[in-house]
Amino acid sequence: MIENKTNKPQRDGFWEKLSKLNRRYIYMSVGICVIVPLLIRMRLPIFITPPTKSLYNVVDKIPPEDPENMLIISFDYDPSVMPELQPMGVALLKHCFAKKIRVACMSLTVMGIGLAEMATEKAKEEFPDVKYGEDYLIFAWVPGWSIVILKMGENIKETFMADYAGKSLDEFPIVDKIHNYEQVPALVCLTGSSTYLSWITYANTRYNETICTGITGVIAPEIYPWLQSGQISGMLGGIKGAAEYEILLKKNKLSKVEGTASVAMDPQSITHLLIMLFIVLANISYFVIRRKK
Amino acid sequence: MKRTFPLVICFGGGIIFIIQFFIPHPVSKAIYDEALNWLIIVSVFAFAIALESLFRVHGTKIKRRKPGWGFSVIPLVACITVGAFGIIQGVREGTVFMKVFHYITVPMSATVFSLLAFYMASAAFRAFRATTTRATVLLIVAFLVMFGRVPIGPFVWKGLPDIIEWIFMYPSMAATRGIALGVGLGIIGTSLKIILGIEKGWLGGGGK
Repeated sequence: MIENKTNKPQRDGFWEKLSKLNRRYIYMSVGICVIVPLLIRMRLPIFITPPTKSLYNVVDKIPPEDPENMLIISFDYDPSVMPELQPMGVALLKHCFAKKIRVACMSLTVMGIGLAEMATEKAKEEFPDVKYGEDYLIFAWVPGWSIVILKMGENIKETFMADYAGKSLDEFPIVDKIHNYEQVPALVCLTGSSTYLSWITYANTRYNETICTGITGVIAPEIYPWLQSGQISGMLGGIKGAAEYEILLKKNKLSKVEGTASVAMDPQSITHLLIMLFIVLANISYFVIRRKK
Repeated sequence: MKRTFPLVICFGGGIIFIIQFFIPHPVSKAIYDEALNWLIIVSVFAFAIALESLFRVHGTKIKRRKPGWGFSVIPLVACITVGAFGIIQGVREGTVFMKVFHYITVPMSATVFSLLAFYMASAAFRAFRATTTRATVLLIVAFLVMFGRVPIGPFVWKGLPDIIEWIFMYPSMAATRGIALGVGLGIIGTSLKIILGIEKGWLGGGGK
């Protein structure tokens, strides 16, 4: 209820009611906007942004089946940001498996190792012939964060010593000729935090390692200064970045299966539209009520 | 001694490794390599302290039957059982450790974080108002980015991604770079204060 100029209580109009909209209706609308586009696909075209294209080119240029060249993907995130970052890991692994690029997974966070293992299993569904220890490997988790990055610049095998299941790295031919960053043409850090800064500071600045990143949507704008300076060579921004990478893989006939990020684009589009509609309605209601007062 | 010794180690280590960075001699590299090994080993002890803290905090809560003590039983039981399975069976696919990770940890973490979308929608509805000129500019930019970053934006207007890229590459980047430079200078200043023993907060006791 609002009071008019004669101080008589007045019944709430449409805009007053709208401004007090119960949050449950908002939650319900968001839920519907997420679920319905998953069931009824719109398949909107996905535009490829330059940072995604750059990352794709960096990975694509790594010599295939070369024992002295390996891509490292660092899964530096927890399951909380997995919906955004996991499709990136899967897409990158598929790219490597399709082009026979040797790849190693690692993580600076404890839970990242489990997520790396999940991503490799998912990517292997399309490439069942790839072999653990020959085509790809998951390093053990080692505490120390920035120290791990620095130590890898001196000796990768000495840093990890074992794979994630505790087997000595000497048993895996994939790392026979991998000594330090010199045999790693690029490293992709997937993260929902500021881990990319540690990779820039210690691996790029000190060892001149090419660093690319896959990052959650909210952090993506922070990456642009590093992209412009060349300290980061490519970026996947949020689930949209992962979807762009999946589209690139499909366009180049490296993957036939539609990835989860591409599927998630429709719900994201509709939910963004819904939030925009809410903001517009809230602002109209704000100005209408202010004018009445 | 309890305070002087760590200060001496910090000062010595800081100065030695600043100098070491500029000397590419094999002896210098060997010292650096050995220091890295030490630091990884020291990092392990941080986890030992974390475990001790976890058991002390929750153990005390359970012992004194404080309100909600039942919740404290859960992390302790989870830590002991999952840890034990990890040590006995290992962490390969198919083990209890990995099953707990796949079917409990992952879905629970992802679900809790996904709730953010619902809260953000509600918060945007209640707080995102064009009350001032600055707020209006923020609102317009947010609108453009929200619309342009999802496939429906370029589908409606093909020029939108270029505008979004311009926003990220110029105004947004200028602000981000300014903050990054400030943070960088702050890190250098604080590091020097720690190495020189001016800043002692890291020793505990509020730097007294």
